[in-house]
Amino acid sequence: MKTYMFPGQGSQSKGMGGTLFDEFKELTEKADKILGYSIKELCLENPKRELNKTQFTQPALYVVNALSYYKKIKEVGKKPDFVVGHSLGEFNALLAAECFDFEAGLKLVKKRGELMSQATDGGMAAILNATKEQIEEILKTNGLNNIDLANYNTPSQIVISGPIEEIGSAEQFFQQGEILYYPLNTSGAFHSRFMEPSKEKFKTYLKKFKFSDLKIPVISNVTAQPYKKADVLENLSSQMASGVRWSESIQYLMEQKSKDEMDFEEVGHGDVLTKIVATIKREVASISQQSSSKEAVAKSAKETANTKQADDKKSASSPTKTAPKNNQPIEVPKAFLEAEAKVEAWNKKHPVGTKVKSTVMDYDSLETRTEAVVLFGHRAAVYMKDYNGYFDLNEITPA
Amino acid sequence: MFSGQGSQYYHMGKELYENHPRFKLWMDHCDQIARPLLQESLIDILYRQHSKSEPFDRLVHTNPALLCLEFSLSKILMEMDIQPDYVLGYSLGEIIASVVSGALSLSEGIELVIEFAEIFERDANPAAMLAVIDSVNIIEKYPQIFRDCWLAGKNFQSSFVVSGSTEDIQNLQSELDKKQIMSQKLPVNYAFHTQLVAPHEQKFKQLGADFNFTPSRIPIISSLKSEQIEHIDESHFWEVLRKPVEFEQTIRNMVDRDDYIFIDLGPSGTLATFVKYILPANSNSVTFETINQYGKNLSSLEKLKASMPVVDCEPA
Repeated sequence: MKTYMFPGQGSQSKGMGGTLFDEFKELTEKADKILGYSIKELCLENPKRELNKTQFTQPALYVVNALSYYKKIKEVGKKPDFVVGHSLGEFNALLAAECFDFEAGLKLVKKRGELMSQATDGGMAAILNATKEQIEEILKTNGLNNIDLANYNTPSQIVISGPIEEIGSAEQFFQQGEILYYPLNTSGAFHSRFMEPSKEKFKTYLKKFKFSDLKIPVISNVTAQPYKKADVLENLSSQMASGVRWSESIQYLMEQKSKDEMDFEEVGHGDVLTKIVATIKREVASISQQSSSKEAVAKSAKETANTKQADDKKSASSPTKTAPKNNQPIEVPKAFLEAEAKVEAWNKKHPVGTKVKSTVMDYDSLETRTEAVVLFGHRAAVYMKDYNGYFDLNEITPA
Repeated sequence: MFSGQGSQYYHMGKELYENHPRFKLWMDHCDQIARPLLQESLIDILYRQHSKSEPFDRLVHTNPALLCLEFSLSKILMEMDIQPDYVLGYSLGEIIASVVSGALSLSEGIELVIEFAEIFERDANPAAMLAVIDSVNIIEKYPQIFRDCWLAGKNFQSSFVVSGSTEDIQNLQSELDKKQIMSQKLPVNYAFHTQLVAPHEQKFKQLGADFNFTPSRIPIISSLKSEQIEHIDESHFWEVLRKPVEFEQTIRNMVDRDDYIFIDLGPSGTLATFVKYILPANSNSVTFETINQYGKNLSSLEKLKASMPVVDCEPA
């Protein structure tokens, strides 16, 4: 099974597209006509330093993603099983699924870039080693009420978005424990409530377009589930004002494997998404190992531990191919409530630093490094010191 | 202030790594980014595989090591609420300053310095750099002995750096010894800031063009241009590597206009020393180092915090 992923803002750099513009002359000319400037010159020369301005970045990435995709299809002669795109990249996923044609997509993206670039005085920051719940709690406690969670990139990497001053003053509250915080260079508070006005305008614009049935399943940023045709208008407009559920989208895709593991391939410029997917796999690997059937795990406990070590080494040098071995659906509300209850009970009894042992694996000297949290909407888990991964609460016991 | 090649040594920052949890977190974060590119852990290279006294001069390691260390130091200083109004870099330090300012992301910065080191390790002829403790005027006074070397940087009134082939630098050093002029070989194996690196311009710029340079959040002062700069890109970084460092002039230009607190985030405190010598006697500017190779890094960090003047910040 194969998923093509299309990158979004942040992946652009001068020189992107390379020879693609000459290889796809006709499409490049069409793009120039719609945009009113030379897309090739913008991407390769960037003479006016515009490539990092949202209204230019978005069409540029869209065109490079699209041409990369056409070239890829020409080369391999086969379409992927799934497509997904990060933020702007979602338009390329829909283009690949033939929801609209190249020109319609470019018009949409051009409009989207223009609307998003009008949002100023916004900022974004990446937060590492904190869960969604922890971040929300810290924001709430400190009265940072205008910040939204914008990108769920990996289980431990979340991007927040809001007014530039609040993004600045939030930093001091995310300097405790394991949490790392760094501001990103964006012009606006993308994927937050501050995009609502732009979203409404975009929705009006979207209504002028006709969308076709999707030929390839597209995973939506908004729902982390496959699109339905009827969703296109709603999803594409709300997408810019709501969080990108990337980590869940990738996990959904990882669970769609049949005989073989899902193969993710980034189509477009750079390897930002490839790196993120490698991190997601690494971070969920420990949990999924825990959640395989106890018997199987116990039987091969030593083997698994060895594999895990090998994987860690491998994932350091190249994206690991290991995917979690579980088929649980994501976000069952009942499962969430159960998990939440478990987390609450655990945190009442066991402070951070509690010594625990695994009931299914060969680890006996473990120590918790965080409070327990609900992961992925349904798993009660706690982060383990030295092991650097989450353990399922069902599978540990105080030592 | 961010220092460049020459200020590094094995075990730099080790005391903080072992005793300052936030510093360790940032270093480990950097290590995670660097590891796939180096195929090994930078932390292992820095703190575990070598003794402190071994020369630390392999560019593909020293480049990311300096970036990661100085970036992590900048983060813990900022977490101590010591916020910079400007960032200033010396040579490679200009790339580090750009990362700290936000003009280049940390992961791209690490990638850039490792990949440009790979170009040099692959293509460049080994060469040497020598710090001379005397006035730069001795180059004119003794043109013969400096004949085959190039001026690479002016540090302060009585310190400058020259680059040249390993042999020429060797000869220069013995001639200087004869004249009882102090000099010190730097742990750098390439003739940065001279025409000897010119053949690598195209490859460097090709590499640099792949990176995503954005406006900085903190104003950047360049010790190549001796003034504040607005745009960072691969052409600027190339000039930084190719042309002499004008550190002395840069500091003079700054203190002519205003008073500053200069904080050296390099591992050796060398830039703080340079500034001390440059500052005029009546200057109200002050200078601090963060860490050095002689230990007590934790307490010097605390002292630094304690010595920061309490200022009523006017809104920008």
